[in-house]
Amino acid sequence: MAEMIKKLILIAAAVIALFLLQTSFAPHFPFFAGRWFEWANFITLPVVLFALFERRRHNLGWGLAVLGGFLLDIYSARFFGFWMIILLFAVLAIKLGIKKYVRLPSFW
Amino acid sequence: MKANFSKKWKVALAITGVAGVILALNIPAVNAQFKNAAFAALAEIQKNVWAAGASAGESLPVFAGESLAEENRRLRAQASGFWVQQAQIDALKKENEFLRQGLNLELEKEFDLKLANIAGKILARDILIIDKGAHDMIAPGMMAIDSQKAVVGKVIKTYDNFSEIQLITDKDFSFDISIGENAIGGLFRGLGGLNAEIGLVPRDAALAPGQRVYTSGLGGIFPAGLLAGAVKEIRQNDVETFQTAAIAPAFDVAAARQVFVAVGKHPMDSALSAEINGGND
Repeated sequence: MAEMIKKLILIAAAVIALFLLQTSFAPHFPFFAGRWFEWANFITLPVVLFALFERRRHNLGWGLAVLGGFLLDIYSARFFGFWMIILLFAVLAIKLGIKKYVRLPSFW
Repeated sequence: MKANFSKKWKVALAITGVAGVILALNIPAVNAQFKNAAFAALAEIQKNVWAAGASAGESLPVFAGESLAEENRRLRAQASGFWVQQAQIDALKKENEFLRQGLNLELEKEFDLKLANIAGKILARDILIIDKGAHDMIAPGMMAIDSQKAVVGKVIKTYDNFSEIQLITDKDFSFDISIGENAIGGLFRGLGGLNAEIGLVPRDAALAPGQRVYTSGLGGIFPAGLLAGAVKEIRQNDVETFQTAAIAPAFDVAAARQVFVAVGKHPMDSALSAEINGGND
């Protein structure tokens, strides 16, 4: 349990750090000004990758999707919850869909 | 069976909880209070990260969308012209200082300028979050400029201690402009992604790369004479009645750390102000 909490805190800290990079560091680079960066950003990509390579019985990917979506929603012009819903559906699709038919290595 | 039932309940509770939070945070008053608190919690770190980003943006051209060789060629070409310009600049400097003092006085007399730090940028929109809000007398519709008196954008939403500034490059932002010394009329349009163009410029008007683009004062959003950018690339078409041109905005987000918001008398007419306030409710 303690190990789980430690892991959770570490991951949450990493997501917040990525969020800060996303909203306050990346805007200084025109490379990140394109429309593509709305979808493939510093939060969505790690959340999707984490869910892809997480063991099926583990549930940290869900928490990560909620936290990442929540942070993105604060700095989004869309309705509140948009990113939370998108990321939760992405994790759901990965866990119930892709991982059922595709065998991927699990790192955590 | 029991464990399965309990797991289903847990999932149902989690979904209900997330849905409840989402619904509650979409109530405008709750949303404004929550976002203000969230901005406040993160603002100090964000301002430091923003400043670090500004420094990195100036020194790391890797992601600037221009190769080093191209940049080198461009800078060499510019440098060769600077020697001639230097002599002209020295002569104009004295006169310029005098005029600038006059302009500064005029602008500061007309507007009460509030200095605000930039904390962050809204995802996929050209909207900045600044650390001054309704408690600092900032209201939707007020204009924002930078230290060089270049037009930045306008306030579109305020929270208690923070505000959202829509940059002139944001999609669908437009205002009337005056181009170059001949004061050619046109329309400035934001394209999103920190890009902008000018349109509705008569086909026979002499546009040239490098020409300065100023606000014209028409339309009531900005007063006349504020620098908006410079003509970058002209696009002419024999079939079209008007010509368009890509614009390099004068306000550089990559290097910006602070902006001024004109909180005194703001130039918007009441109808336009009401329209904006209504649109943000």
